[in-house]
Amino acid sequence: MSEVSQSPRTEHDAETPVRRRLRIGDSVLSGTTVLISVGLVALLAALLWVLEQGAAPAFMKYGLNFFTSRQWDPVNDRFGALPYIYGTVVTSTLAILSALPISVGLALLLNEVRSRLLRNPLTVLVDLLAAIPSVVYGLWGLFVLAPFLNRYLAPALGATLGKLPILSALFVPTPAVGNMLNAGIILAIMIIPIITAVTREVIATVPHDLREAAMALGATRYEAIRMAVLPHARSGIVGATMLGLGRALGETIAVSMLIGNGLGISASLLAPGYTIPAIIANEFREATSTGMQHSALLALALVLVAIALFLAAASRLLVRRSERMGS
Amino acid sequence: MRTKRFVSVFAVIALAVGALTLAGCGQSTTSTPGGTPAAFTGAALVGAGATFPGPVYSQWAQSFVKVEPSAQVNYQAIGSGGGVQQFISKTVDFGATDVSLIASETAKVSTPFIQFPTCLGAVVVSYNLPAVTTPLKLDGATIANIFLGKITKWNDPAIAALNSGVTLPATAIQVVHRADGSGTTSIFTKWLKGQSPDWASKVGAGKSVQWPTGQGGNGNAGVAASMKQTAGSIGYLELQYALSSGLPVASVKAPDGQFVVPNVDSVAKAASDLSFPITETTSILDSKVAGAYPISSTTYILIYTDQTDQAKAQTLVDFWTWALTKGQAELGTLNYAPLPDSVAKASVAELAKITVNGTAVTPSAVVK
Repeated sequence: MSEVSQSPRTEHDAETPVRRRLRIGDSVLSGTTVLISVGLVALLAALLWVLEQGAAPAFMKYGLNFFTSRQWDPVNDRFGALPYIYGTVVTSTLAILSALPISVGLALLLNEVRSRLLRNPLTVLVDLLAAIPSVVYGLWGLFVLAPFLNRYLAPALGATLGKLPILSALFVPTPAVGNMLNAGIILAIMIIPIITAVTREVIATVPHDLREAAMALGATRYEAIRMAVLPHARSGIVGATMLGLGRALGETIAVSMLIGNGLGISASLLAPGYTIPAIIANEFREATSTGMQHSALLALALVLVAIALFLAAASRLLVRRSERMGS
Repeated sequence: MRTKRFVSVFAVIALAVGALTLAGCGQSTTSTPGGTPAAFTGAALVGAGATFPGPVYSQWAQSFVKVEPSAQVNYQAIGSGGGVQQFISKTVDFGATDVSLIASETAKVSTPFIQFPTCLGAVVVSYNLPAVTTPLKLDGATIANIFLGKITKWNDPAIAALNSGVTLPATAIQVVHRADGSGTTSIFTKWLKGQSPDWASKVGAGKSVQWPTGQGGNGNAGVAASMKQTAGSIGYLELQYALSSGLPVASVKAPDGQFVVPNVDSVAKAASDLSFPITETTSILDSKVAGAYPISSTTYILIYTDQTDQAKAQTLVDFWTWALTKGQAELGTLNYAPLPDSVAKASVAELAKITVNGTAVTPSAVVK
């Protein structure tokens, strides 16, 4: 801009048509982006409004009890969200805890390993995993993964972690096929490709100087990754985790096929549970129009949106705080 | 170079998948009934409702094209609740429901209508006990207590008393129920409610209820899959699904004290004393007829009697007349039970009430 103002006449005359076209392009671009972003916000507002309209009768009738009650009784019109909130949070947490280390490790491997023989097929495979429909994961989970986990992993966990004083409550065995552990593991498998793909891109943007500087100071390859690469990529990894968490929270069909759809709250991960998306998908189609069931399901949907927003905000806060403390 | 190779591998896969999909589409279009729209001159019927008879109505729609090539029947299995709603708001030509209309629903219907049964089904109690080879016998109170979580072992005295001579294992009972709202659950819980005061007060009846114990599966297939993987499991399935799943089924004690094996014949017996007109209280649960399976059910069609479109009314009468007569023969292969002759005749008589602007509609010669 400063150059233009210093030599106004000649350049002005020569470039007028081009600049005018550019200016038109600019205004079109900015107009479109504003329109789209406003439209997006309006869309979200409309969605929340519709959910709120539908959910209002249930909130009015049950008030705070809706969040603390363990009842879900369509026959007597009593509804509480607690078992579903619990199941959703437990399975998503389980999924993130198991998927995050694997994904970050995989992303590092894909970036650091020189051999293309290993890297390219792995990259393709991870991307392929992301493209598999969730109902296919559900079928595979129900007929292959769940029997395997129930036969080998559940007894193994019970015999090891289950013997420890506090953890034992988490691994009380039940004969149920579907349980929260199975659902958490299928979710982990489903979100690994997303977290890996994003983390891989983020790590690729870490400047080589940083790594080389760390190495020059005598750091080993592991130390360079830990001290230079990961801190630089931290906010990106948190973002990737949020994407994964978003999918884990909202996943419906695969979870519904594996979690056992059991009412009630159990500390044991080997007991059947239920998640918010699963109950909505299962009951909405035949929900009674006379009672509160329809409204209670919409209220659950609103709760799910609230949980997602809360977690997104919390993770942003976490990143900001850790960055401030780091610098 | 390597990337290029991967691209080409992907391209090959994509092409193969694409070709397969196209082939699949080609097949389905050629097998779709009424695939010759040029010859189509009759009325297209749209119906919606219960999922339970969904397979039957689609089968009938396909077969009916061979009888009356100009007719197209389009049935959407959206659930009984949705079927009744669409019928009341007159957005469909016929509604379908597993539960006969209740008074509050009938009050919303502004013009006269007919309601008639089309086929029969049943809910079957199935179990997975590899050690037991003799079919088990159960009664209502015992089944209710199992699903209430009060009976927790297979060798419980209550079960043993009904099955003298059978060695029952001490396996824990694992209850499997439907997780999705369904007419099957509605029929089963309605029956349990009549069997056990405890069930009536603690759980009640509905398309989805608050199960005191167990785990939920999606649809008949989900319940069967969970049951097959769990030794000691018990669950309930639709008749046609249970008979093809290979799981053993329990005989259930009828009101007269006899244990009845669920099959097409015993279900048909349950409907033999069905009376018209169909009302809110019409039910074939716990039928008094000897040899009738107690957890039997029927499903209904709703049609307005005052029609205005001649072609549509003719197709409606023709299709349902055919379904209630010649169409009944197709039910066996789908494992639904046909209506007893007397009930089928009474249903056809109901269809005679349909008029177009006051003139009665008689079935075409082809369906007789």
